[in-house]
Amino acid sequence: MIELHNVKKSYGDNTVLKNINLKVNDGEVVVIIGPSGSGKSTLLRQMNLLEQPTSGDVRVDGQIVSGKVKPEIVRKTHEKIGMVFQKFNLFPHYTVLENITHAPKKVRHLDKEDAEKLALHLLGQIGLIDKKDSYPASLSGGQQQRIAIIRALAMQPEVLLFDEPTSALDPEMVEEVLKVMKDLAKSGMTMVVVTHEMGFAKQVGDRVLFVDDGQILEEDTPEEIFSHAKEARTRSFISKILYT
Amino acid sequence: MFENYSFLARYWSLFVKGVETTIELAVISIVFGLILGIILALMKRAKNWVIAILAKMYIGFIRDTPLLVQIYIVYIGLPIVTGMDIPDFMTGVVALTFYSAAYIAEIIRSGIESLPTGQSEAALSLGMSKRKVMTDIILPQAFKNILPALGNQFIGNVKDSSLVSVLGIADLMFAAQTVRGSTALGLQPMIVAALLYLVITWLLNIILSHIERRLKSSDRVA
Repeated sequence: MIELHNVKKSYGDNTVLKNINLKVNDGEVVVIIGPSGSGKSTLLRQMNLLEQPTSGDVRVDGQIVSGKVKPEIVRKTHEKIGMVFQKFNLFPHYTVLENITHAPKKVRHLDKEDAEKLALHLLGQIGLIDKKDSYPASLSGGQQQRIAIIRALAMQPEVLLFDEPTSALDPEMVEEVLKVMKDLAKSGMTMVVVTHEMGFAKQVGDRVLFVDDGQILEEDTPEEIFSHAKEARTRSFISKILYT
Repeated sequence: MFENYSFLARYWSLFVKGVETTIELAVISIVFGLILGIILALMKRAKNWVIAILAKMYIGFIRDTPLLVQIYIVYIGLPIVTGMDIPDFMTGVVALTFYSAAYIAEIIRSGIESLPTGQSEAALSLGMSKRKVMTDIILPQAFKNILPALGNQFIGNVKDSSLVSVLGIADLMFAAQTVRGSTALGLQPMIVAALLYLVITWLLNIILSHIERRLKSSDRVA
């Protein structure tokens, strides 16, 4: 599905990713953990080309999509790979319904009726149909994030990337967002999630990657990595997120 | 100063015509200035450095030279460049458009840059083309943020348009000068012009703050 080959990323002298090799398979849920500044968000952003690797390449379904490729290939990749952001990034000048239907109409060329039908169906699944005509500013963070998730889903992506989707939320709203994500994982969606939510990783994660200092230091199943990590750095990090 | 306004009975229609022309100049130049301003703002942000530098040079030239000089350059240069006989009103419109576009470009650029990058990233990640991201997501939001500044520019255009009277365009300033010439009154016609300019800008302020309030409320209303 998505493959990173020897991906390096640096900004000037600052090397953020050292040498990343990674393959995300169809239907897999990959969880990325790591200290802040370790490069985990940058790693995620390479996958849908919001940032281009300095060297190495990114392949989607076997095709190289990074580097000097036609803009249309990058755009098509965006279309295949949805993304959910820490700060939701709903469009404040559109209603909830418009937020969800805009890209399906403009990019997938659905007609208005079909796009709205799809949006209402998705809104129904997260219990927010009554908010369809609201503007994002009038919604709670948890509601905005759930809408951001279905906005990405409305494009029917092959993979969804999540960049710390619950970090900007008040504690009481974390669960409602995680529930939507867990349901998605159970439905077979391919997901790559940067998060420190252990419960989520344990329940639906197939693989956990520990990223430290621009490298994938260790990867294993959630059970193994949370209870018997091989690397000392991993164990120390996991003990910190478990007991704070 | 407060007497001898009887000339108004005879010349009021000149002032009315002048007000009309002034408003026409300001409206047409702000509309075309906005179009040219958007183009310049996008050029200045272009990856191609030649395009970016051209836009920078243009904006620098307009902002750092007097409008009156620019008006004469357009007045003399436009017929040479186009090889056509250009009506004075058109010359005034072109000069004011060129002038305000440079300022509007800077206003738009700051409006685009003040938006969080997450907005364009979210739009891109939905598969929208860069052009659609700009037209559907970035520009509408930027436009809303810069509306007060654009309003000020519009009011600036009303006032700056007085300079094109040197070309013989029958705007409000020209009306005042004409009346001065034919009545031998010094101050009074100018005071009438000043008051009329005040009324125009005052009305514009009211309309603009009304629009601003309406746009703001659309962010909140459920």
